[in-house]
Parts: sequence; structure tokens; C-alpha cells
Amino acid sequence: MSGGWRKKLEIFTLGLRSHFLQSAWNFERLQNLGLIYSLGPYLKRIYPNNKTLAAALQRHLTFFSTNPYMAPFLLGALAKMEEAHQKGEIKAQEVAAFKLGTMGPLAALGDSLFWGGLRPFLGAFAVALALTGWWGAPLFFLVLYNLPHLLFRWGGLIWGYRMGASGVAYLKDMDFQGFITRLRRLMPAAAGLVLALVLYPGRQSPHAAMLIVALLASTFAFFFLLRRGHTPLRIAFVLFALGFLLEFLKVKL
Amino acid sequence: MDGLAYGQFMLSRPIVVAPCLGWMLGDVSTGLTIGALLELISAHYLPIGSTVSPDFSLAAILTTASSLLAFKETKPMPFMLWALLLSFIFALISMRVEIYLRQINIGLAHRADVLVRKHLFPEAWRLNLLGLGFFALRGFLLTTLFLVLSIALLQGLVRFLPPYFQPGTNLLKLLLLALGVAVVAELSAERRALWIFGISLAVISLILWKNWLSRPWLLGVFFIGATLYLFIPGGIRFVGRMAKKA
Repeated sequence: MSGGWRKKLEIFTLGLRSHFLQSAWNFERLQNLGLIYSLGPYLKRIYPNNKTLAAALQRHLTFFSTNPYMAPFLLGALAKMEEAHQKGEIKAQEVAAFKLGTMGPLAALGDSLFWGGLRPFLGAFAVALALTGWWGAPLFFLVLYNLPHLLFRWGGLIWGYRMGASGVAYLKDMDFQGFITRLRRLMPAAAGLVLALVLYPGRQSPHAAMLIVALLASTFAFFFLLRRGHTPLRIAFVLFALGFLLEFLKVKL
Repeated sequence: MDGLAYGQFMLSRPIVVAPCLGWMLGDVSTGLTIGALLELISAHYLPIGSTVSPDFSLAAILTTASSLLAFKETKPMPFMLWALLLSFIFALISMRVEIYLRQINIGLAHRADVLVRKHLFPEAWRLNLLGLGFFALRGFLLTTLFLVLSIALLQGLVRFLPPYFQPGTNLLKLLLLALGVAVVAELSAERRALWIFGISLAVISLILWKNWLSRPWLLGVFFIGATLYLFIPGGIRFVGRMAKKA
């Protein structure tokens, strides 16, 4: 990144403030307040005139929603584009159109990669570690999850600022969709690992065979119930009700 | 707060919160069990768009703390399941409170419009921190209130309910773990998810039954295999594309 230490400090501050993107999440314009909180001080330096600064902030007070880990890439690119707009190189509508056109695809990428991919897979693997009694499972999960998280945040911020709007084209060259597909295939494998550790806890049980069959049958039944749209909490409440019934029958009969 | 308002470093995930709290209260293994259960079940709820999920961080805190604090002199298992049931209910209540807070934040967004028009710029963007304050207050107040309620209810339930009115013990815990496993398997939305799950379960069960690998080695091999599968095909394709461009 070119520019002196002052510019680097401003970009670093932009990145730090991006952690507060969802602090005032609202149903009307979602992350808009977080966006102006992150970009505001940077825009104040670019636009010394109050009227142009107000116009820039109003541009960014509109609807905004993206994945919080992918947002810094967009913030860096917007900062670069606002500088270009201040110099008269591009129009305000181009900045707004870029923001509107990019936040959706970035949200889809980030949500698939992190919320629907890395988090459940690493969570399941950390559960497998926890089932073996390893106290380091939480730390393992945190380190392995936050390494790519921080790479996307800070790497994305620097990349977005360097490349501006053209940075999006480079994202297509990276095989994210393939990575996400492979991650999705690993999730049932991790689920199988966890169930195997539950079925074979390493201790002898007098009803082991019956328990194994019951757990296997239940897992497949839950799988189909979830596929049909039932939520885990709803199923859990039914399980509790069955638990009460079985305890009652066990004591009374 | 970490779940929405700041950072998203996953410090609030059940697999992190419950064992840490268990360690502070002197029973890490109960914390690990609760964390494992809730982490799997909560995987179903993705924070996409305007979706608001039940507060599983709160559930992890309440279950761990109340089951370990309510009765210090006995083993926590039966109370853990009662605490879990209560925490599910409180997690749903907390979800409603969060929805309400997000509606209140609409007022902050409108206030920001007015402040920007008046050229009060730092005041406008600092409204974001007010939203952070609301979420922090919600977390503190609800955790304190529900923890006190949970402990009181647990002690009352055990004292006044007949012995046959219990949620069951080991079997229920295993069924809830099986539910969590099904959640993770189903979440992938992969067509062949059941096949992959079945093959993985069969192979790993065979390894454990025959004792071909110890548990640490098994987990290590699984993790290394998964990492290679994730990165090598993509790496080869990326290098190929760069070579073509050059």
C-alpha cells in the first residue's frame, strides 16, 4: 500500500472500526450505521467541505447488508472510490452502484464460506475433540476459525483499498465455490466422526448393542425431520417430553 | 455481544463459553458436554440476512452455571438436563428481546439522517455505539435475571416435584447429541450427505471397534485428510490458471 504512515494509520483505523459494523443493526437499513461509523472519519479527511461530506455520508446511510468478514474488502474499495470521486475522476452514482452491486455477492460468498461452512465444520470437529476429553478443544476452534476470518478481514481491506472496484474481478479467479463445495462434503463426514465417538466412548456398557441401534435409528430419523423443515429446538422439546414419559413409565411400571 | 454487535470472533459460541465457564466453576467436563451439545444443535441457526436465532450463548452460560451452582454437593447430570430445558426457553425469550432491540435501532438510523443534515457528523456515526450499548445491556441484564431464575427454579423443581417427574438422564443426553449430529449432516445441503455420513460413520466405527488407531491419532488423521482435501484440488486449479495467464 502506497502512502505515508498517516495513510496506513487511517486504513488501519478503518479496519478496526469495521469490527463494529453490526453494533446498531436495524431492520430498516441493516448495517448502515456501522458503515458510516467505519467510513465516517476517513470521509471527513477526504471531504473538508461540510456539504460534500454530508452528501457522502447520506450516500452511505442507505440500505447496507453484507457478511461482516467480507465487509472490509468493500470498505477499502469504497474508500478508494470516494478519493477518486473527490478528485472528480468518477461520479457519486458509480460509488453507490458499486456498493449496491457488490454487497450481495460478497454476503453470499461470506455466508456460505463462514456461517454455512467453516463454523459448523470446525464446531463439529471441536465437539469431537471435546468428546475425547481434551480441554484444548475451545482454543483449537477459536484459532482455526479466526485465522481465515482475520485473513479475509485485514487482507480484504488492504486488497480492496489497493485495487478499488477492479478487485472484485480477482475474486472470481479464486476457487471459492469449489472450496465451499468440498467443505460442505466434509460436514457429514465430521458428523459421522462425532457419532462414532459417541457410539464407542471407550467404556463398556451392558446395553451397548441396543443403544447403538437406537442412536443410529434416531440420527437418521432426525435427519429426515430436519430435511422436512422441523427445527432442532422443536425436536428437542419433543425429546424432553418423551424423556419425561419414559422416566414416569420406568418408575411407575 | 460477540455474536452480533462486535467482532464475531466466535468467543460466544457454546463450545467456547461452556467449557470456559465450567473451568471457572471447577468442572470442565460438564462444561465440555454442555458446550458440545449446544454447539451441534445451534449449527442449524445461521445468522443470514435479517434472521434472528435463539440465543445459544445465553443457553450455554445458563445451563453450565445453573447446573453447577444450584446443587454444589451432588453430581450435576440430572440438573444439567433440567437446566438445559429451562435455558432453551430463556434463549427463545432472549431472541424476542433482540428482535425488539433491532426495531429500536431503526430510530437510531433516522436520528443519524437528521444529524448528518445538520452537519453533526461525529454525533451521527457515534449512534452506532449507542446500539452497541443496548446489546451489551441486554446481555448483562438477561444473563443475570435468567441465571437467578434458573437456579431458583432448579432448586424448587428438585425439592417439590415427585421423583418420577424427571427428564431422563443418559439416554436423553445421547439423543440430543444424535440430534446435533443430524443437524451438522443435514446442514451441508449436499445431495449425497447421507451416503458421506454413513461411510464416514462405518469406517471410523470400524477403526474404533478394532482399535486400529487411538483417538488422538484418529482425529489427527481425519483433520490432516480434511485439510488436504480442502486445499489441494483448489491449489492445483489456481496454479494452472496462473500458468495459463503467464
